[in-house]
Amino acid sequence: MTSLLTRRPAGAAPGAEPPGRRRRNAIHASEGRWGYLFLTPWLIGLVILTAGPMLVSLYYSFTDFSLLSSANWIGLDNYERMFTEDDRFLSSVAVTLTYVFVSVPLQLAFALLVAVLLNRAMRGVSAYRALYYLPSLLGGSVAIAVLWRQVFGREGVVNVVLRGLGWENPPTWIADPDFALWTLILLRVWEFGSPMVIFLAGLRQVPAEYYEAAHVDGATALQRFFKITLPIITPVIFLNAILQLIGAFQAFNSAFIVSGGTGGPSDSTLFYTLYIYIEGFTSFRMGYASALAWVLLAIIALFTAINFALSRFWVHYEDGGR
Amino acid sequence: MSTLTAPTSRGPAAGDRRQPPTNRSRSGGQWMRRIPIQLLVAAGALAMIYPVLWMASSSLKPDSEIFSGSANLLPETFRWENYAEGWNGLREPFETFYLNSFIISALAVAGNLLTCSMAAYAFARLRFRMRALWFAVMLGTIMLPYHATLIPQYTLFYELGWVNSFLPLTVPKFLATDAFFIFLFVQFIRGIPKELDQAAQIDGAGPLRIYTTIIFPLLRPALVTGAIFTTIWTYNDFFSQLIYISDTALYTVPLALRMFLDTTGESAWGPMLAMSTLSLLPLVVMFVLFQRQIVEGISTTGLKG
Amino acid sequence: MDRRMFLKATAGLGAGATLGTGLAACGSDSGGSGSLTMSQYGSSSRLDLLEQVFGLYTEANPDRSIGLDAASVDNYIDRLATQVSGGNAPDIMAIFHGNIATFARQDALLTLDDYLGAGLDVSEFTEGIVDLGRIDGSVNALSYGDNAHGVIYDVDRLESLGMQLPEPGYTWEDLLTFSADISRAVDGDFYGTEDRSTQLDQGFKVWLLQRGKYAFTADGQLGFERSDLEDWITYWEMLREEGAAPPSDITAEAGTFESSALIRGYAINHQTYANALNSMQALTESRLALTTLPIDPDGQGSGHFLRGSNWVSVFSETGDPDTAVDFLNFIFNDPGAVGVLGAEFGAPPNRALRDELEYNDAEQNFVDYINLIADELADEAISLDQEFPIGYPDVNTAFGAATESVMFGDSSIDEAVDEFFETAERALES
Repeated sequence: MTSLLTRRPAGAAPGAEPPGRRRRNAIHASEGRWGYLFLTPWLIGLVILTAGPMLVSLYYSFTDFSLLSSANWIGLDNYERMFTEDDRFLSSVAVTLTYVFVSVPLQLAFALLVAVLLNRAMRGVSAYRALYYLPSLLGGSVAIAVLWRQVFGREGVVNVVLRGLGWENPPTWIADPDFALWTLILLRVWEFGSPMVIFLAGLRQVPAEYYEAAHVDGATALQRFFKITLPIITPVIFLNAILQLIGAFQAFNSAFIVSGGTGGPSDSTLFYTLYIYIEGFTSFRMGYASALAWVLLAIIALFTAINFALSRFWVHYEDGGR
Repeated sequence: MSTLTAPTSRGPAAGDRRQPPTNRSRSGGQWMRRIPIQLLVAAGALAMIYPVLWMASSSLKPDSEIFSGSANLLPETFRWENYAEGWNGLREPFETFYLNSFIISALAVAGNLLTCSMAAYAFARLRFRMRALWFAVMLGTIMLPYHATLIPQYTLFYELGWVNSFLPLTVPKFLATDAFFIFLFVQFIRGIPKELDQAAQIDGAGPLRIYTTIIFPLLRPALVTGAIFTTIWTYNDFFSQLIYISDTALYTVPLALRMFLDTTGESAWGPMLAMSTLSLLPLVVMFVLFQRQIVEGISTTGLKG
Repeated sequence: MDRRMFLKATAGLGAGATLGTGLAACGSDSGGSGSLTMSQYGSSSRLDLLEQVFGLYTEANPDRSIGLDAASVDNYIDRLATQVSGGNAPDIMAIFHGNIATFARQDALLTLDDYLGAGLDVSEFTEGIVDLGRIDGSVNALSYGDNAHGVIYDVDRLESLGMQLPEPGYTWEDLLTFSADISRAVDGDFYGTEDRSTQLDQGFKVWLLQRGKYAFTADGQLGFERSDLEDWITYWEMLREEGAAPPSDITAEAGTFESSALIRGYAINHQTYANALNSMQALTESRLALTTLPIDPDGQGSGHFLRGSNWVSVFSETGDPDTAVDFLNFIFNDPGAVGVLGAEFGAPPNRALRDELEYNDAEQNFVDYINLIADELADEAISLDQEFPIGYPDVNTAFGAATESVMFGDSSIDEAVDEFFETAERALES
């Protein structure tokens, strides 16, 4: 993550006359003060509202805290248990990794596709944008539980269609351990409004003259998309990828609501965060739940860092990365 | 992430160089070619909103019809009472819940926009000691799942005497705890050409004036995006509202919707679906009004290099 | 490190240094004398009834008042645990039966023994119902209503097939036979019974008790053997194979009342706690009625035993335990209060008042059923600490996992039983 800062040009941008050395130092000294001044609300929030509770939860992760009575220090026991004897931990990791690495690319691809389709002159394009955004407005509404059964249940609309197409006995997607997770992946893909909006913005950035030139060269629509659009919007894809990656790792509501808080059937939708919740608030092992949470933080940080590192190879900046 | 810096050659006013905006001055040939796409988009939209349509249609059905497994969109019996019962069927009329949700959302928007943009300005433009460290910490705070910090945070707010008020839901927003938006705004600010700051600097403007007269106004489109995301997420944020609010007079829309349901007892599914459908309306209206702002907004600030 | 101290320190810093305590305008008041808070989950109509009772109580005791702390049922217990953890729990709290032992073991609940017969009148209660709430010997919770296991049948459907509601005393063998008949008699996806093999806290306990066993022993170990679980799974496997019970996907889709196979139109019955009848009836136009679970002709007794329905406890750190208990006495024994609540929380434990109330058809059916169980069929009640020993959530999960894996065809009965005993014994050890 630090690449954000280290790769940023220091001092003045090219073209501007660098100020004298003395003056620059003076500016930097005061800039430091101003920096902290602008950060003050965030720092207060960090120290009091965020860092305090985070440190307390880190402390809990080394205890047997049960939520209802006081905590006893047990060292690394929670972490040891996690990696040596907890099968549900392992299955929740597997479920979550599948969910993240299938849903994020799918959601981004879908959001980009729709954004491309809606980034054109077309009758009623504003209405379409709103319609495509509508599912995202539902968020984690309670109604989702009923809706998803209505779509992927035994008599759901998907199966009605499949039977119409001649598949006599399709599975009950939502209740089948082999498929239940995939319905939640689709739920995430379905709620693709936020990345779509950001993609739309990115697409509006592509300079029109690029397309005009390509048009003259006789490039097809597909060629134009892959040769012009895609490279130019890689920074936006990257931004969306980071945001969605973190969001998908932390997904909770959909699994909680659709599985009724159990992660069923057969733990097939036991998201990592759902497991944290079950350990903390159903089994009342808040110490263990806290340890799980910190391991998740490490996992997310790792994948975010990898994403940043890989971005050097596929994210193209018009200004050459400066 | 040095990623999203603005090109030096194009200012924020270069919107006219972008792809052609929506208009109707097209030749007939182009229209012909567009019809399949139009059909595709329309069919896609229909599939997308089928569940929402089902919700709206079920909001007019009696409970026994909702769960009989019918995929029919048209109710056999229209039960308009679901709406009246939903609006007035809880312990407060629904306008109370709307009002509470609006108040919390509005305060959250104000807080997020102000303090997150300030922090973002510092991270994106100012140089100070330990900036890289603070930035990493900021990102780190997004990554810890909230169930882990819930208990200590609750204890904190309880000791402050804030439980059963809107304070735990709104004050943190004024302390920039939604780091997601700091991160987002950092990216947007990097899209604002630096020459503007530098020109102002030469005129003797300090960071405060640069922030208030250049960054904040030019960030406006990004702020609109932030406002919309904040509104939707706050409006839908069930869990923290549940934890901190006890008094039904302070209940918000998502809390109220759950009051229709009782998985151990009697549930009012029809009214719940009716009010769920209605509760989407303010968000839809807001999105329709602002979507142009978002799209144009992001593009003119420049999200890319 | 004392976490409360730590948090108080940070909290003080926050209030003093930056925000000013004046902001805390609508903070909660810490229960002055006579003014208490009670938390309750459930629907709006239930909460309204409860507030009417609060009103009656204040009428009778003008210097006292009860405020309602309402929360949705889905996240009720996390919220309550959060409140207890923060030292801010309601004085009186509705609580689920599965959580009472945990809360009581951690000293979060007030011990009510000293009040029994002295401020809290339980003389009219069904015998044994108070003892259900004993955790490690002390009464920590009371049930609003008597309850029991039962089977809810769609009577209209039965009659349309020329059949009758099974009379108490029918056997597990009978259930298999006539369920298979029903499945055969109806075209398409419809079954003579739902599949409840995956539930530890339902029919399985009745099945065990007919063999003279409990799910857990008094000292918190497993109370049954491999063969019991093998037989149980085998029995349900047989029902599925015969087509008497639905295939796994229909069962797995069920969870709450409205997603049960009965309401979705896949099965003719729902095996659950008897107090569900009224709620279930609201979800269907068919007439529903209660009967017992089957019996084991070679076994002992009916296997049915008295259970609680909705429970209530007093927070151990309440500022005014006397008033809290006095309110409990009021809600259980005042004719006006009991009249308002009716059968909302189960069959009223005060038998004299229970007999005087008027009920709708479903409620009457439920009350008659409970009276039958309590007075004629019930075995001795089991206290909640035996029902829910330390490690229970893991055992429950393991039970569901083992039975489901057979149902989905993922493991053999042998493997599933092995897996269960290994996990459960480890969970109960620690």
